Amino acid sequence: MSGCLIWDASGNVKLNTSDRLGRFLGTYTATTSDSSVTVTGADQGDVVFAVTSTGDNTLGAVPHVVISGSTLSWTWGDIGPAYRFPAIIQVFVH
Amino acid sequence: MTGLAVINDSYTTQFDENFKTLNCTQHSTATMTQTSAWPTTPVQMATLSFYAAAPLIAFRCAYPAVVWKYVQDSPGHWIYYIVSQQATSGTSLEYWIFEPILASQIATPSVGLEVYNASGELTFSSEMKFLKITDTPVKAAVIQCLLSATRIVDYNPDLQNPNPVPGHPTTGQTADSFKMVGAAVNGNTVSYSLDTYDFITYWGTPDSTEVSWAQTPTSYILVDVSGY
Repeated sequence: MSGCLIWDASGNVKLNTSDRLGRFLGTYTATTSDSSVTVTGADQGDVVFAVTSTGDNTLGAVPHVVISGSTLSWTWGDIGPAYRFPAIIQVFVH
Repeated sequence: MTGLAVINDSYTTQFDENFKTLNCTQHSTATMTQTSAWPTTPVQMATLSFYAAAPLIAFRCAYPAVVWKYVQDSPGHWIYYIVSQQATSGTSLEYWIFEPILASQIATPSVGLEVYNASGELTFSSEMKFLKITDTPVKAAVIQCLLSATRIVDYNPDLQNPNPVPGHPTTGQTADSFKMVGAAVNGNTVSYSLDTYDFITYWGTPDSTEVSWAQTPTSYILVDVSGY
């Protein structure tokens, strides 16, 4: 066995060598036009992301977001300009 | 490569000095109540309102429940809308909020191991409540229900589409539809059940092509929150 073991004060293992932890790679802003950015650290494991509208609560439209390699891309499709607000994309890896 | 990196048995980095580990900072419950957002179908909804830096939400409900939409309406303030068709009014929903670790969230004086990046920011502390991922299942989508047995003719502005789909592949018709897939975790184990909802507003009666086209597989992250 190799790696790091962490115990709590009661002697229970908090972190084992087989555990998979989530880490935060960063926050990116999707503009209201189709575009893409490069994500640093996307090669660290499996990437997941959360897309959040900055618009009104009811009109919470967000773009369609995909990641391929280190490239995070977004497209707005049929969503009209009136419903587009910059979207926050939080990127995580595990 | 310089600095510290701890690798697990599967050769994936558990923590290092470059990226902040995710830490459970809040644990609470919410109650579902019936919402009028879907006028033709009773839907229970819980609204979560909280402050966080860059949250990931884990939640557990006795019935399949899904995040309908969420918004950051002001810096650091988030609102999540979680809905369920099978829940009843008063159903409890338990949730945990994970954020990139902040030094202020760790009790001082602390013991154990802490890791900082070159800017002096904490990236890992053995005192934290880690986001521990136990499984990442993928569920093939299956349409369970439609909002209307026939169709909804009028466009409902309350049904703004957080997950739009493109126009129909052959007719170009636009369906204001959104897919929601829910999971229910039972008890304190990793056993779970999955369910799928497709709330679709059609301009016409859905045909088999549209139904098939509206389905996509969805992946989940199961998180160990024991003791959190």
